[in-house]
Amino acid sequence: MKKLLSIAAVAALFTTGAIADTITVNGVVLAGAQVSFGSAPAGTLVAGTFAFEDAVVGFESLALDQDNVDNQNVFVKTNSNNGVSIALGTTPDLSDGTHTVPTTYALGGVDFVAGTAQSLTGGTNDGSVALANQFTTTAHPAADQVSGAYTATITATIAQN
Amino acid sequence: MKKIILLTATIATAMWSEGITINGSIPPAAIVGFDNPITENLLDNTFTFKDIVIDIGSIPLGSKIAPVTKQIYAKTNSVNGITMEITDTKGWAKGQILNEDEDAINMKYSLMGSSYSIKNHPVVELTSSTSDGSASIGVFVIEQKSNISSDQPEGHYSAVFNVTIASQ
Repeated sequence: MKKLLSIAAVAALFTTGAIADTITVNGVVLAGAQVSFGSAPAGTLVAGTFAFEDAVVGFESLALDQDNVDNQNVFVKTNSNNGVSIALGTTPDLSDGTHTVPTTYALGGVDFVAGTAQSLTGGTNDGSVALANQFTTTAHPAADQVSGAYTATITATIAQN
Repeated sequence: MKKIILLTATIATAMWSEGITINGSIPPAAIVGFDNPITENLLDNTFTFKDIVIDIGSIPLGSKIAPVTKQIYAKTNSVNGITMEITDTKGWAKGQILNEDEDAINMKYSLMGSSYSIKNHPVVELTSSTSDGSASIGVFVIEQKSNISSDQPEGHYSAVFNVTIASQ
């Protein structure tokens, strides 16, 4: 009996006594975004890049002494968990180089202030469906506005919320 | 009378031999780690894996990272060597790394030159005998199973695996 106990003790001594330790694997996926007017973004996301696809908003002809309104559907493709925003660098009036037409820009009815961002989405978006909020340009020529071609160029900056 | 004397002599020769037996034992132990030789001293009957955080870096959208290879170092006095087993702390998982919303990126692993299934967590031999820990004995490799989606949700992805080192 004594011998049996000794063998058991030695066996226990050589039992592995294993301890669990850890491997932690970490990786990161960077956010990116593509924003477009009129139709779904053509490009694929590029990590770390927030792009606005150049757009031309064209009024056919501006009616004198009244609001001329153009609404653009906005599409956003982004993998950003917090969504993305858009800011306009300036909010210029339409101009023919000499004369101007008072012009405002809005998203979902909220006018843009130059340099102040407005949120487009609060999370990820696959870009296939237009946002509920449209981008609206409103130009109001005077009753005796000088005829000609009027234009404005705006820098749009897309950023992560 | 003659018969009785012979019987007595037979009994006298059946004597036991007595003695002293001294027994001792050296318990096995091991320390296993990645990247660097093992310089620590072994601790009796303790099998340790040195915790490690492996940063696979930024994962390109629509693509894969290059495989990440970690050299394995093992110090052990186990005459039959040691084994390693890797299990996912989530139990059900297959080795994916996940973000906080549990979006997954599928990964695959190899240990000592063979594909390693975290889900099935086989016990793999690291050494078949003692090892002084000074030289790499093999590699652990992490790869993406496939390209991630081109619109994979951003964020930090992570997985924690338990490692069990045992003697053979």
